[in-house]
Amino acid sequence: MHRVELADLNKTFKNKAAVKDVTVCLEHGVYGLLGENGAGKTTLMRMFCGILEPTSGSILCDGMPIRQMGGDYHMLLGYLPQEFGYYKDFTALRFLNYMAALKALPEEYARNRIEELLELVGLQADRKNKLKTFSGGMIRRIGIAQALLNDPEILVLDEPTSGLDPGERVRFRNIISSLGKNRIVLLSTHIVSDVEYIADNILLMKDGRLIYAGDASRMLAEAEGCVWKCLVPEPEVPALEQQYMISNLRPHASQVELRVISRIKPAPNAEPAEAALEDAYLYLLNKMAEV
Amino acid sequence: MYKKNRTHLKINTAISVLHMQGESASATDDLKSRFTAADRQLPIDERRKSETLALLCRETQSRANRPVQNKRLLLRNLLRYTDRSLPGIHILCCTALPLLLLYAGNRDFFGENDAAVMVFLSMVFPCFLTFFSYFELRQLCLTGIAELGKTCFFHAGQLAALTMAFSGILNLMAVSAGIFLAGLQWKIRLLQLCLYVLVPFIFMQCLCLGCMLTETGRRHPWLNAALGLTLPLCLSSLSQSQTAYTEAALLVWAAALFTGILILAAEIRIFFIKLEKGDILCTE
Ligand SMILES: Nc1ncnc2c1ncn2[C@@H]1O[C@H](COP(=O)(O)OP(=O)(O)OP(=O)(O)O)[C@@H](O)[C@H]1O
Ligand SMILES: [Mg+2]
Repeated sequence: MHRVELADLNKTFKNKAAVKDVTVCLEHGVYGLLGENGAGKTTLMRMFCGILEPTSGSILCDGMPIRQMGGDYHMLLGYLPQEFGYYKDFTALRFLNYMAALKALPEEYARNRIEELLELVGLQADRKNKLKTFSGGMIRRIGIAQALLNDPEILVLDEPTSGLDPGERVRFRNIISSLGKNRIVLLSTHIVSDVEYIADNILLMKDGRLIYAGDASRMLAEAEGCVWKCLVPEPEVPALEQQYMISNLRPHASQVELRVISRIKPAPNAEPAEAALEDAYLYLLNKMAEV
Repeated sequence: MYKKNRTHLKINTAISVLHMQGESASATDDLKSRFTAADRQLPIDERRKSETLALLCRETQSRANRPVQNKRLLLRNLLRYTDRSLPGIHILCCTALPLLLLYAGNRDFFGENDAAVMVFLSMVFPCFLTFFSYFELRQLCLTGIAELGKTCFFHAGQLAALTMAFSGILNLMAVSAGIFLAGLQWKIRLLQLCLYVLVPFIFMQCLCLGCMLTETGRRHPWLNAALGLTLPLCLSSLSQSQTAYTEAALLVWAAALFTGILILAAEIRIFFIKLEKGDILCTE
């Protein structure tokens, strides 16, 4: 088991700061990295994998800078980029073989492992088909398979579930939670429910900063008492939307049922509701905006 | 070596001292029995023993997928699965160049102006070959393969170096064959011809690699191609001039070649630094 520490990590592109002062320590378990578009998730993950050099700060694996570890660190890694590159004319099988060669896996081991993984991601039937004939979800699955080729101890997945259908999503969630027991799994997503059930820890990013790191129950506790449910006439909705953060909106006969996130009671008839992780996510993002 | 010898010496002296004292056998026996007695007194924690065994087993298991150490095997594996379409066309074009020159020479294609035209052609062709190197590098670095590759055993720098070496050597071989054939057929001094051919070739390399270094260049590959096509135009205007190909101008050509090589070397260095930092791989 390994331990990866990020300390005061910064990354600036030209004059845009994409990641600011991120300090966090990852040990075994599943880490869900949440954040809006452009929050800096991909940039953070790229630095974590040693693809991008931080502008300042350090990344240590078991106390050793990952730059110094070089290939040794890469041997531990499995990485799925947000959009990953592949040769369109390769078949699924050849692509996985190519990746296995890049990862310097022994031939015999690679052959067995590839069969295992094709089965795991449900693509055995398409193994001889060219990647250019694959749908977005199938490409994603091949991407997941290549990340798992070397049975990595540190697995970094950038939006692994984007483009997967609900059935595949559930299957994938199960794979991840079974993997997370004795390794580090860091996965980013916009979809809170993706990490709700599987992440032991949640990392929340906003504008390049890490604004929350901890488990889901603590995150829920933060939003406790700030979630309200109320029924309001339809014409009042825009005004409320202006004033408060609305996490859900559902027409209900002539009225609209709103789920409002606010520290104060938003309407006279509003009732407190139990916070869901999504509410907590919105609450924390919003709280930061207020500060 | 020296240290090892010294340790040996020490042990030998110790043994010979024991021998001299005539109690070698009994002394070692005594020592042995004392060690065994001490060992027996050490409590062995059965739980920890089995834990250690399990750990060792796990470690050996996980070593099953450790990288192959044999470099030759690694390279063979990589070449076996790597994409061969673009390099294939590249090789074809590289073989076509000398053949074309041979054919043109035999047929007396361009009549009177033969030599001048051939020199011009053997200057332009290598530039054309450079585009292959450029697109091979682009394919590797900008399609995301290298981003994936950077987290593997073979990292992006090695892959880029391999690609560059492959296409560079291929181009150089084609160009030297071209120079040799052209020189042979049109009785031009080889050294002179070398300069005429290598200068545009090197500058073309500089142009292509330079484009890889800038964000705009990486975004617009065809801008590079357009820029590249101006080079033959420059060359043809150069061939109109009376002085460019005289012996007196040779020094200028040599200086140009030297400058080109310097620029190229600097560009290669910057390229690898940028690649290492991830600037080239992670364009938005
Ligand atoms: N190579 C780059 N050059 C310049 N700016 C960049 C580069 N990569 C990222 N950025 C900027 O850094 C910020 C963070 O980008 P990043 O891709 O890390 O966000 P993200 O959280 O992954 O977003 P998304 O959810 O859309 O994937 C963005 O504002 C982006 O414009
Ligand atoms: Mg992203």
